[in-house]
Amino acid sequence: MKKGFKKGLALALVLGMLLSTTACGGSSAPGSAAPGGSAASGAAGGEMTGELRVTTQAWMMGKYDFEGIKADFEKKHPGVTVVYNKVDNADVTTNMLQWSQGKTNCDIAIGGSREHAVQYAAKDYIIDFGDDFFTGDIAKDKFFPAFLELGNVEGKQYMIPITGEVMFIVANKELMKKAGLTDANGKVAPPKTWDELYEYAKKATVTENGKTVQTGLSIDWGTNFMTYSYLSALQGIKGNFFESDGKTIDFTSPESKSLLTSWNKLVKDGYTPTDTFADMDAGRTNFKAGKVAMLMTAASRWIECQENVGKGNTTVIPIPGTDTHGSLVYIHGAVIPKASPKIELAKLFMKEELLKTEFHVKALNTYGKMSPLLAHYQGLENADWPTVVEATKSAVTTPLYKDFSKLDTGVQVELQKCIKGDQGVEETQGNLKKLIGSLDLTTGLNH
Amino acid sequence: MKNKLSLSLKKQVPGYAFMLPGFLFVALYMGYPLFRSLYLSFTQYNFSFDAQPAFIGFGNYVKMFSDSYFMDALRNTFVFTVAFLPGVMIISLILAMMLDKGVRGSGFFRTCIFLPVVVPLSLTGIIFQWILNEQYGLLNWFLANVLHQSAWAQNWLGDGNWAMVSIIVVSLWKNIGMLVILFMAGLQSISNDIMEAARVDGANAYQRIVHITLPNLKESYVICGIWAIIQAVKVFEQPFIMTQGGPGTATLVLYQYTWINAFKYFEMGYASSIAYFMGVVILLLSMFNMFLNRGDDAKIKKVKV
Repeated sequence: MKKGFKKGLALALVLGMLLSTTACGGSSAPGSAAPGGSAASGAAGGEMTGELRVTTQAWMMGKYDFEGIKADFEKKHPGVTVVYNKVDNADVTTNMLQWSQGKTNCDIAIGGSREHAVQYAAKDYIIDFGDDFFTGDIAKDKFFPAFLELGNVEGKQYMIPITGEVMFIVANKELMKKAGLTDANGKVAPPKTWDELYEYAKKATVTENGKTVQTGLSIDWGTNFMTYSYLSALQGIKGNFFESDGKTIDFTSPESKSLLTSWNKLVKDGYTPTDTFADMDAGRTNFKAGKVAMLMTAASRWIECQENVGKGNTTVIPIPGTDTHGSLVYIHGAVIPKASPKIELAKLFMKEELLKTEFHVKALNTYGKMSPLLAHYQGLENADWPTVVEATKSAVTTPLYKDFSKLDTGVQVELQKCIKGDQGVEETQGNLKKLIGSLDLTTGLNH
Repeated sequence: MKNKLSLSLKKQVPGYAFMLPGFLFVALYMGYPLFRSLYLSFTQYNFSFDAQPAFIGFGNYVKMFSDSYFMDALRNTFVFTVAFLPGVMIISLILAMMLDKGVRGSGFFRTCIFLPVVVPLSLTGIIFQWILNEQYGLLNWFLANVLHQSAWAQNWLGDGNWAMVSIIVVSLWKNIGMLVILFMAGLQSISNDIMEAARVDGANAYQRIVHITLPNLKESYVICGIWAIIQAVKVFEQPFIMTQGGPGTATLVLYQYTWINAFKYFEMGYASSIAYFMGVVILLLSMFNMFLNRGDDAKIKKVKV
């Protein structure tokens, strides 16, 4: 009896273990398609009812009215329940693992940019939205061209931009006024060159007993922004950031050299700190604390920071030259996995909710997060919006390289060394030229 | 005879059955990834773009030594290990010996020393980023306004050398508590009789420490040493959060470079080879530590008698 019990218990344990390991493979979505299956694979009966799973980055939930659009969509489509899954960042690894097995825990994945989309597209894990998606109020010509481009890989629209950013300098009006950098109307005249911006930074820096108590110009040089900062600044100076082949990022031109020399000088003379190297939010945090007069970053900070430095106390200044040459943009877009059993419902949710005016207006007014659609900018509260909109209309995008993440790391490492003065400008240019020469500059999309 | 054997086997069956779940768990979740990553380390495999891993032999292991970022990470990990390892061992041992003496308020001090161990490293990193901010950080404010020593203020995280020093100090603060507890356990296992005998024989405090306490802690050195070696070689969160490996590559360490290759570039082959390289380094250092602390048990037993 005793022996039998032991054997039975052992058997039960073994079975339990085996079952749990099998279950750990992840739950397969009902009706999940095999990888590489067609977009129509999910169009079986019942697709337009049931649960629609949407993965978003956690920060978006606080800045956009996701609960509001969930309620609206569920009201319009009885039988549908929208469920959100919050992730920290664009969780490419998890998505790749699931989608490679024909499984998915989401029907829409929001977050990330074209660099992520191309990885999914290369393995045929996400749908191409095609031209049919873009009708009526969301026709292609209704989008900012650069935002739309950031979802496009070799002519196919794999990602729909949901929110965007454009590179600018945001400024604290009061501090700029104290520095004598505003006109009679309290407006800051945009600096035309980096030499002029250097003078602005010099005037706006305040020191007491040899210690900086107010920073003139902070530049986002952290891990997430170094490449954006370099490309947008070079775009402003030169009108583009490519070598003569129109494809390879330029690190060797005289304009590139002058930019790096300016950055070097700003740091050396104490008008720009390097705290953003370690803490990518340092510039924004110190701007919010009223310790920074100008911050080169994404434009949205000019509205977001008003809560801290006072409503109406911030403004935007184009990065030198970007008012005529256009600035640089990036997006957070949405993709639909082919493994989703609810592809059509997911598309409908994107059309009806994620791209509707009400969803974007609050984020525009409160956080400066840009809508990809031009129509959403009518009658906005802040008077600086037209400046931002104009710069975004003519904005450019980062190039799509298979090895972009390697370039991004390399740019960050080499430019930080240069800005700190640990290596000369020419040595930096040489290192970056060598680096880009060793990278795969194709899109990485399999043909 | 045959019956006896089959009876013995029958008796063993439940034992093996009980072992099986554990064996399966280890085989699936530790054995398989271990062998799979060993295989991947000999391949070129971009998880995002490549359909299958392509075998390249020792290509990744050769590439490592011509990769300037890897060499920077190796050098930084070495610097960190050389500073952290003796630092954490010596400071922890001193603190453990002080607390073991039962100083007044030792419970409070023990809690204070152990507290950093339970604070999540991600939060610690962010808080230290603020404290160590060059222009508006608490430390520089304290140096300038309380101690009136503005010249001591530094760019703690933005200057390469100071950034490494900052990471080492924060790592010591974070890890000392664990070793203090381990050393205290070792100290408490030393018999009071031996100490008493030494006292009766006229040994002073220094002699008791050198000739009794320290030799009797050899087992603790091995355990604490291996733990500290692992913490040192696989240091990751501190530089990852506090400096992002910068400025430049001044605080880039091997574990972070592995992470970058695996989860930023998705170069699983190359990342696996770096991980294996680290594994071998940890193994060699641990063996060296065990060799240094190989027990002369007879001698210790003689003392213990």
